[in-house]
Amino acid sequence: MDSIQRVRIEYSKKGPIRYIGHLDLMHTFFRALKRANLPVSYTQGFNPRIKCSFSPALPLGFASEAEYMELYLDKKIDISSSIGNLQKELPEGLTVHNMERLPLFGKSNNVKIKAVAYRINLHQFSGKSTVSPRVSKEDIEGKTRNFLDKEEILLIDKKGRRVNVRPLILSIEMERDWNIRLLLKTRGGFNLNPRIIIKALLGVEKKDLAFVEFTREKFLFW
Amino acid sequence: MERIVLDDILPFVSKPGRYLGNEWNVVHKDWESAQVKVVLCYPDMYELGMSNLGLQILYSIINQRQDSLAERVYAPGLDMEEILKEKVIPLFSLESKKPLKDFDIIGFTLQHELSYTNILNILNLANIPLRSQNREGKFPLIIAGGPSTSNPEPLADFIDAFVLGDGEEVIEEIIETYKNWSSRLQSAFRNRGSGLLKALAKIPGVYVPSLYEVNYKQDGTIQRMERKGDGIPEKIDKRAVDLETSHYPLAPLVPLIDISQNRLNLEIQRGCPHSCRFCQSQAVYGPCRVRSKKRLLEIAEASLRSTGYDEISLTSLSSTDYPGIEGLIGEFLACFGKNHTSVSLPSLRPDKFSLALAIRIQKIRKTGLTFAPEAGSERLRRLIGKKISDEEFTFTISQAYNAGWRLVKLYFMIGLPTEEEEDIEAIIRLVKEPKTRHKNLNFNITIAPFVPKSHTPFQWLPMEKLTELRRKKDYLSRRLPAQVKGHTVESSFLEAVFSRGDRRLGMVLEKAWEMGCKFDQWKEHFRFPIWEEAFSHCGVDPDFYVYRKRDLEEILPWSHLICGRRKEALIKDSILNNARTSV
Repeated sequence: MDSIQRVRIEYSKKGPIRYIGHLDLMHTFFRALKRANLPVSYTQGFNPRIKCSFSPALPLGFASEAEYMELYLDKKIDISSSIGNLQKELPEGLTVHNMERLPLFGKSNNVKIKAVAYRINLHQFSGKSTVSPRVSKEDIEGKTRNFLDKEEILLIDKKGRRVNVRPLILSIEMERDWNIRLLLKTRGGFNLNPRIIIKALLGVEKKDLAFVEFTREKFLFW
Repeated sequence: MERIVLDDILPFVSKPGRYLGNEWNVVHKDWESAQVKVVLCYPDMYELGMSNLGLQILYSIINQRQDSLAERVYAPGLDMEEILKEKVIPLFSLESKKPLKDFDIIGFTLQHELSYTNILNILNLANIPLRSQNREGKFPLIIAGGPSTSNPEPLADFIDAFVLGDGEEVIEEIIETYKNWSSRLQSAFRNRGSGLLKALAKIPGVYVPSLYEVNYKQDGTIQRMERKGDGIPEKIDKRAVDLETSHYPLAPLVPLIDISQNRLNLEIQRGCPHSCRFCQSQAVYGPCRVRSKKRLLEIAEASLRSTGYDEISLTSLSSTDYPGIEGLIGEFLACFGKNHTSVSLPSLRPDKFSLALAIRIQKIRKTGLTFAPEAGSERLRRLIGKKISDEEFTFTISQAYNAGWRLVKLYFMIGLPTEEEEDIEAIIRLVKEPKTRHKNLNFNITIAPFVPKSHTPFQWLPMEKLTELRRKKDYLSRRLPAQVKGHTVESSFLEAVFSRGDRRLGMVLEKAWEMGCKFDQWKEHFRFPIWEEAFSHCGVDPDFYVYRKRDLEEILPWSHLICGRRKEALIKDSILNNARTSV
C-alpha cells in the first residue's frame, strides 16, 4: 500500500528513560505505535519496517525537549485523537507535545538542521563532583570568555581525528541557576556532542561530568 | 531512594537501561499494603533474565493477588557491582528500588548449574548470609525453582526450599503458607524457624533440604538420607499443571533495551513427546501437554495488543511436534500476518516436515534456521533417541538451500555414550556432503560435550574424559568446513560436577565464589584454574562426580526426588548393560 499521509510527531524525553539509547528508543516507539493501532506504513521487501525517520541520535543520558519523528501513514488520521492514543502507549518520560501534517513528499527535516541548542545544568557538578574542587560562577564565566576568545579549539573526535571545533560553537552563555546555554552548528550532518565541549571548557575529565545534566532544547532549521 | 540510587549510579555503568525497572507493563504495587512481598531473581544478566518465560508467568500470578507483590532483580553487571560496593548500597529490586533484604521471599530460578556462584554473589550483595543456618532472625525466605532443581543438592546449604516442576500453582500455595505463618508471628521473627519450613515441606513439590540429613559411606557414596522429624515426605514428587487452564500472562513485560529473546514468547506445549535418552528437559518439563489452538489465539491476540511486539515465537521443547502445528501456524499467519507480525519457531528437528513449516513462516519475515541433529552417525542418533536418517537430514538441508537459506545453524554433541572415531567422522561427512553440492551454503556449528544428567537413562554413566573431549573438539574445529562455536569443555566439566553432585559441593561453591568466581557461564569470566583450586582446598575430588560409573543400586543425591520417569523405567531405557550392542 502507498502512504497517503506524513506526520511529524514532536516529543520530549525526560527522567530515567534518558538512559535508553537511540536504537532502543526507536523500538520502543515502534511498539507504542503498534499498540496505539496507528495505520503506519511499512517498507517493502523481505524485512518490512515502519516507514519513518527520527531526529538525530541523542547521546545516552541526555534529556530532550526537542525530539521528533516523521511518520508515513497508510490512512489519514485524526491528529488530535492520535496524540492521545499514542501518549497512552508511551512509557513514562516520553511526552508527545505536538503532531502535525507534513507534505507527503519532500525531504526529512533532518537535512535542514543547521544548529542545535543545548542547556547544560552544572548545579550538581558545582557541589557534588568528587574530583575537581568546587567551582564558582565567576570561574566558569572566565573560562567561557577565554574559550570563546580562541580562534582554534582542537579536540579529538570519536575516530581519533583532531578537529577544530571553534567554528561550530555559535554561542556559550552562562545563565542563572547554573545553566549554560550552548548553541552548536551542525556541519554536513555532523552533530558535535556537547559533552566534549563542556569537558574542554571546564578542563575536566569525562567522569567529572557524570552529574551534569544535558538537555537538548531545540533544533534550528533555516 | 529511587532518585538517589539512579542518579548516583547510572552515569557510571554500561547499559544503564538494565536497572531502570520501567519496562512496558511493569507492575508497581503499593509496598505497604502487600502482605507478602516477593522478589524474583534470575541470577544472570538482565538480557537473559528478561527473556525467561517462567519468571514472567510467576510475576503475573503473584501481582494478580490482592495480598502480594512481585518485583524483580537480575545479576548486576560487574561495573554495577563495583559501584554498589563502593557506595555501600545493598542490591535493590528494579521496581521499588527496595533492598532485597526487605522482601519476605526471594525466589531464584535455577536455569543451569553455572549460575550457582551468581546466586551466592547476589545474596552477598544483598547483605544476606549465604547459608540458611546463618539466616536466623529477620531475613527473607529463600526459595528456588526451575530446571536445575532436578538435582538441587549442591545448593542445599543455601536455599531454604526448592520447588520441583511447574511453578504456577505451587507459588500460590507457598504464599498462602507463608502468610498464615507470618500472621501468627511477631514481626521481629516473622519468617524464620523450622516451623515455617515444616509447613512448606507439606506442600506437594516443595523440598526443604534442611529437614533431611545425608550420611555418606566410606567410599563417598550416599549411605542414606534421613528425615529429621515426623510428617516430612520421604519422596518429593514434582508438580505438573493443567496447561490449558493454567495462568498465562496477557500483558508480559516488554523491555526497553534489546534482550536475547526480544519477541512475544508463546508457549504452545510443555514437555516433549520424544524421549531422547540424553535429554533432561523432557523429564523436567514433562509430561507432554499442549495448549489448545483456541487458547493460543486468545493469548496471542491479547498479548500482541498489550505489548506491540512484531514477532511471536511458538516455543516449546519441540514445537513441530505440536499436534496440528501446520494449522496453528496457518491460523497465526492469517490472523496476525497482515499486521506485519511474523511467526518464528525455535530450533527444529532436521526433517522434511519441520522445514516445510519453516518455509511457510519465512514468507512474512526471514528467520534463521536452526537444526539439532546432536550426533553425526545414524547409529548414534538412534541410540540417543534422535531418529533422523542421514538421507533425510541431507535432503532437508538441500531443501532449505533451495528455499533460500544460506546460513544454517547446527548443534552437535561429542562424548556421547559408545561414541567411536567413526561417529566423529560422521559429523564431518554430514556437514561436508551438502557443502559439496551447494557452494554458497554456510554452517554455524555449535559443539557441546555430552553431560550426563539426573533423571535420564544416562544418569549412571561417566562423562567422557576432558582430554578426549578437547581432542575431538579441536579435531572437529580443524576439519569442519564451518565456523565452530561452543563453551569450553572445562565449563561442561563443571556443569557435570554440579548436575550430579551432592551437598558436599556447597563448600566448594562457596570457596570458588570467595575466590572470585561468578558468571561462570560466560567464557570471558569462567576461570577453571580457580575452580580446581577450590576443589583441592576443600578436599573434594571433582572426578568422583564426573568420571565415575554409578552402580544401579547406589543411592543418588536426587533419589528422593521424583521427576518424570521412575528409576525402573530409566533402567529399562538405559543402555548401561548393553552399551556396545545396537539399540
